[in-house]
Amino acid sequence: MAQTQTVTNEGITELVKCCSGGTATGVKSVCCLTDSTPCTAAITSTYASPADTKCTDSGFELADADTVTQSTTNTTGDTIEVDHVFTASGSKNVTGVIICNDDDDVNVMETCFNAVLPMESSDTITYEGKIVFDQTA
Amino acid sequence: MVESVTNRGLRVEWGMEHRDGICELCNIPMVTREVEIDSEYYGKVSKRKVNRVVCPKCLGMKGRLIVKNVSIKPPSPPSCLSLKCLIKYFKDSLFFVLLSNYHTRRVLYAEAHRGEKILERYRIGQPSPQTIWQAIHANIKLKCPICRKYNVDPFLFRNK
Repeated sequence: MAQTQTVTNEGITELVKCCSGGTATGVKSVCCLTDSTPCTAAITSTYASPADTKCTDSGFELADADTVTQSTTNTTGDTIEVDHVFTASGSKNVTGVIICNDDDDVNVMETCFNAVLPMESSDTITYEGKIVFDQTA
Repeated sequence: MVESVTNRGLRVEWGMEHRDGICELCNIPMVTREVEIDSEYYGKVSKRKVNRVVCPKCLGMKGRLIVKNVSIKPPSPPSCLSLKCLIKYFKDSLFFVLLSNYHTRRVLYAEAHRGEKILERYRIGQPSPQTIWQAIHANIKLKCPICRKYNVDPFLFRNK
């Protein structure tokens, strides 16, 4: 299974609402996904129905990201960067990560790993996700 | 309205490191403690208490690396319908498939051998194949236990 990653349709809607002054909140939270087989990220995924089941325990549940910053990839300030460290408090199969808004009702970006990661207690996942508004051809 | 077609748009990049609970420096089990970290939200920095694994000896927070994953950029769609563009797209797609295969196998191999000594390239993913030919070699090497163990290229029969 190849790794897959995408910004979702509802994520784009939320980002455009932010830019156009609509009722929306910026990127803030992260949550791991779990299953026994690798997932596939899809643009049609939503917060209620992501590519896999959202983790609700073992340190991989929904939480505010450690850092959310505006950074630079090509053009100054063209990137939203999310960094987080998940610390396992028990065993869990982790298949991916979703990045959500501050209200925790929109799945902005979805990442599916290429394999299921069998996490054991005290394991850590250091995750860095970037949404780049690409201006380079 | 003037419509302009470009390759620009929204792009996603990500990276991930999976580490175990054994300190990479002291090689002793780490313990989970509540620590204070600097949390940043769009330039606003605040202190936050979180649970992290900490080495009781050196107070380091890094365990031994099990595997590092990096995002692979899918090939850009062809920009024209000429044979040259289509062949380039076909080559890029083939390379993408082989590279994805390699990284999937590498991650599975590294996860299955956590805590054991294996070639560092399978944990960190670098050096990564840069061409179709290198990707074919790397995939076959990863399948072959003897080549993996002795770091030998299965086609050239020499260290690579």
